[in-house]
Amino acid sequence: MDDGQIIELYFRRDESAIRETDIKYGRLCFGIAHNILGAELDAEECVNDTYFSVWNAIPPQRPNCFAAFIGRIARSLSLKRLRFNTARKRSAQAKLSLSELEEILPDDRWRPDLRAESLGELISFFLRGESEDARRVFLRRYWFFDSITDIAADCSFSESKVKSMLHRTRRRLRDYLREEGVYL
Amino acid sequence: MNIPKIAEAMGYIDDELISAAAEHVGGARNSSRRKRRLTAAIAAAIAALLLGACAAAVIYIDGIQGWFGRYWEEITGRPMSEGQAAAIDHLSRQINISQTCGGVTVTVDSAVVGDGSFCVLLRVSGVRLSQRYSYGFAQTEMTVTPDPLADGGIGGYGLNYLCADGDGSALLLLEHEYSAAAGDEPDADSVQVDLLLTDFGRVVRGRDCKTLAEGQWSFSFAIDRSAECDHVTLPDTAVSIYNSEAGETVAAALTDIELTSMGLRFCCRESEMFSSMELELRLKNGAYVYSRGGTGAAAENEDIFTCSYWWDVPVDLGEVEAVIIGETEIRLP
Repeated sequence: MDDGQIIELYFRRDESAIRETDIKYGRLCFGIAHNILGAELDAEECVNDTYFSVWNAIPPQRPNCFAAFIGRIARSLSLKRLRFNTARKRSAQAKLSLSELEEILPDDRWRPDLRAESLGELISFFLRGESEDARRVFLRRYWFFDSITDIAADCSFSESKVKSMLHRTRRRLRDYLREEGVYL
Repeated sequence: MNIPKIAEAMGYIDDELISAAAEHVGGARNSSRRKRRLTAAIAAAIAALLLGACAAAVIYIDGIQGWFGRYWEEITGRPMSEGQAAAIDHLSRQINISQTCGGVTVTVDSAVVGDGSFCVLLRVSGVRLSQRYSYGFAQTEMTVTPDPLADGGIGGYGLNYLCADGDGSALLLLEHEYSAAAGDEPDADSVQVDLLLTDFGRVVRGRDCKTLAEGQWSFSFAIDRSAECDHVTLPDTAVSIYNSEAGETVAAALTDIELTSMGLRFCCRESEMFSSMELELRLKNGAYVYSRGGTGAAAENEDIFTCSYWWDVPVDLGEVEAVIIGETEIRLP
């Protein structure tokens, strides 16, 4: 079923919308949640919360990119749950992924007026100029929080190639942000 | 910027970019290979093109040139130029021998040969295939005579599933590569290849093979390696390479750098050679061709290694703007 048909089910308040969403995007949502939370049970709960949120959001929203829409909700809910799970030693994957970006986004060097939304837009613009492979690997690591191993397996790259690609992309992003004046 | 803020900023990435990346999330691919290979996404895109084509015409891969032609379009976004097609044709050989066992026919279709490596396209017909899976043989045994590894060279071979052709047959690529011992040039004499394939099946979890057709398919054929590969000698260069194992950028001095249509050879000290060295070609049209991997062979009693890397697809050197080794770019003269 294509995304348009699934969204129509939500508009008709047909509960099969949830089933169809699960068939098409269950794996994506679970993957995102599991990468962030590290625990299967937590991830399943987050996926259920995601479907509930989507049911409540559509209508009135009619997303243009349903995959990004539902992925974004799953990601956001998972990150919120992560912040409250202070006792958990699992879920290191998200922190590990984002800690790699800290080297180019150090806390004490940002323009104080720079909002997260503006930074996200800058990163989007930068990524559009990157090769498809570099862009995909970067997003898989820092948006979907996939491990190096999973990215390498899915893209048929070696793990060393994935690491090298990420390293070079981070450096180019740093140079780009410097040119855009985001650093103090 | 602390981690929650970074996570928040990343959350504002454009939907289009996220959707495109989401298409590849969660796909289990066949990663059982001795050498890294074409991205599964590219092979899948080609498979979709072949099988999703309009019902009025069946599109199929015409030999190994046809495969590399489709691959080239996927990675560069445009058809091969005449020069690029000619470069591959020059290195191509028709073999076209078939064997049938239990209703399944395996054909050794054609090969591309050059500079110490060869790729052979195999077709398997008579088995129903699905786009969801990868396919292969439970056992692949190949001997090459004379053995290029006998005099201190190093190398290996691997058989990888590409896609289902438009006529429903499975396409696989057998790759053989070797690096001559330091100081030796790759041999240009013909070699005799003996290939034994056992039990064709569906590859499960990248490793196990669920048998669909039991049997053995045995082939013996000659590979003519006399066609000269285009080559360009590049200046000795100090390169910067990100050593992912050590997590730092290191320097390496490369000498005797030879760029060919099939790959790149150079010499370096053993201490400067490591597995995470990444190589790619930047073409004049802005596209990139990556290396599928490499190996190195040492000279006796010396600290020098001859390293050989091979491109994912043979390249017309006239279309190459630069070689990128690690973080260093070497423009062609």
